[in-house]
Amino acid sequence: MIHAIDIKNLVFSYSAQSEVVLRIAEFQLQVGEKVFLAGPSGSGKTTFLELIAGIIHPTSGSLQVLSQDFSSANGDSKDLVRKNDLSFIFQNFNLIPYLNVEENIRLPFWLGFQDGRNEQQVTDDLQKILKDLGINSLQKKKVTELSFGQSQRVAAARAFLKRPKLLLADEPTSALDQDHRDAFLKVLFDLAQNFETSMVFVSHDKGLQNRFDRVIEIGSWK
Amino acid sequence: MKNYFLISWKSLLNRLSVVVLTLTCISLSTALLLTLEKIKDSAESAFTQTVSQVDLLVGARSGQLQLLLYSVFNMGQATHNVSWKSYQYWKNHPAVDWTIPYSLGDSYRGFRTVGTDENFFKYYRFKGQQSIHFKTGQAFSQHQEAVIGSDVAKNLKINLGEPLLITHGVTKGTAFVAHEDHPFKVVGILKATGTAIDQAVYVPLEGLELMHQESESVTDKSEDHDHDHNHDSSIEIKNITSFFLRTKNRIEVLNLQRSINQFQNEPLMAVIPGAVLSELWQNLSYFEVLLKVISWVVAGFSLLTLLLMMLSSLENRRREMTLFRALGAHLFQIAFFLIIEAFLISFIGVVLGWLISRLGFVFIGPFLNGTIGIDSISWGLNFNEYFSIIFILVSSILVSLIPAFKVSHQVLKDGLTLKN
Ligand SMILES: Nc1ncnc2c1ncn2[C@@H]1O[C@H](COP(=O)(O)OP(=O)(O)O)[C@@H](O)[C@H]1O
Ligand SMILES: [Mg+2]
Repeated sequence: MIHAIDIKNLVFSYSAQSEVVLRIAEFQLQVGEKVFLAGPSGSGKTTFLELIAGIIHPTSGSLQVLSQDFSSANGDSKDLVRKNDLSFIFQNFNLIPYLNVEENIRLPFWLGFQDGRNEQQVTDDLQKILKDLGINSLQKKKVTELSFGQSQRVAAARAFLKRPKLLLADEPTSALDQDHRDAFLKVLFDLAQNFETSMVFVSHDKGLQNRFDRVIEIGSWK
Repeated sequence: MKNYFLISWKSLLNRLSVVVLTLTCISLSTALLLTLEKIKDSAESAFTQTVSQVDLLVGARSGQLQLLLYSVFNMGQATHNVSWKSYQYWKNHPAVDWTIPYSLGDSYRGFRTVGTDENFFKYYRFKGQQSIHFKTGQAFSQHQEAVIGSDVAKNLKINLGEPLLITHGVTKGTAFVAHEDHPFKVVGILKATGTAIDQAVYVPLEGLELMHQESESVTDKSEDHDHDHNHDSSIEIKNITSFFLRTKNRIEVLNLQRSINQFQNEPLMAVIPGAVLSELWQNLSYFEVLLKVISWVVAGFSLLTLLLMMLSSLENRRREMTLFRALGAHLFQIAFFLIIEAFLISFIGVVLGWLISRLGFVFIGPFLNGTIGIDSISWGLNFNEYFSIIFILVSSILVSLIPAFKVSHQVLKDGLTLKN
């Protein structure tokens, strides 16, 4: 695999009548690369992530994600890639309120994710990630009792327990204060390093960008 | 699969108050369905099995239904009698095992009097194998003794040893012509059967005959009447109203029925009670249909409640559903959650409903006994009850396809995050 993401002449609009939201002549994400995608609110950052996630598809042009064709509407392969190789962290509401911390982290496995690890290995990995994130004391806690920073760490634990090839993060730090933001970003990078995970990190907060391999201003695509 | 149930279960617990409301609707309507089913069954068996193990019922030639109604259900009156001679003829017929004679037409304070003999206590069967049992006392052995059904004892508060004044003709209330000089003494009270047996007074044929002779003599030549109560066994019975008959071999039934119907000496008629009773029940089945319609309408409403509960929850659960999708759930999987949820609610609902219906019988059963004849609680389900339960489960799953379809539509529209 050469590129985690490979885009050529992509155009996207939500409907035939509406404006073009994204127009990308060319974009590649190297395997293991961490890209910061910056842009103001409403500029199409989330829309870009949804294209990569295979939840929507390009109006025209070609889009490859982890060597799978994501250009057309149909395709169970998109569902499979999303299930097996992608992880997400959102700005908020990452957790199911009626499941506890551990259940939330295991949720992808309950929904059918499988990568050959057995029960015991998954449990060991889970313990290790909780420890890395400094939330091992929260394992059985109700998620409604967590602070916001803790919730984001639980979301990160869930994202990396899958050992994803690609992490899509949609403003995950926007609701955190400066100290928590830096700390959170650090563990995210350590884990990504650990699992050789490529990353597209979307934010309107340019203060974070110097940690990344590359910074892209979404306006530069249009 | 286990995890799907776990997630659905926790999701339901998270919305406990609406879920409990829906559960209540489903369990109560299931209870209603099962209870009505049970009442219908009991009523049917009390009706069609008021007399069992009798091959033929014989009376003077009239309508089949009429013969059956007055002989088995105390309804209506016989227009003609069967002569004692003919009765003896058929009683001693080689194909006949036993007979139970019935002499009707008198009453005691609204309850009918049945003149019969000891064969009634020995051979009468109802609801399959059940035989006549005494709550207290025993069968009559003297002409002036009587045995009463449980309803008679209960309603008129009669105890053993009390005298009964039988009235000529079947009348309610205080009778005009009471055989005042000829009281019967109560020597036995029958156990409740939940059939028409409970609502009659049983006296020996001889005693009844004696009573009639005396009343004739009272009206004809009252001054000559000597009040001689010497109950010798030489009382000559002239006729009876009808009789039940059991063949030695079931193969004989149809032949015997034909020969009784063609009897030269007297116009007689023989009917097969079970067959006529079932036929009659079929004709009464509008009652059954009505009960069914009512309970299914109620069940329909409870399914509607389920549907509304699920639809109204969807808006609050949009985030949950989009998150499932982001975590790798297929649209089918998300729809499947709703189906499982509906199944869980309706399953718990029907189990509760079943418990409610059975516990209901445990508590109110004793009061019903004798009225509709529910005498034992069976915790198991019969075919119709299984059908009702499976129908509710399947319909709830079908109903849940609506929100399931809606949710997959919504999830597609919502994408990864809620943008609004
Ligand atoms: N489902 C949708 N249907 C139509 N237009 C949408 C939809 N989602 C987003 N848009 C529009 O697309 C543009 C980009 O939105 P979005 O990707 O959410 O921006 P960002 O994440 O950078 O704030 C906005 O103008 C928004 O109004
Ligand atoms: Mg956005």
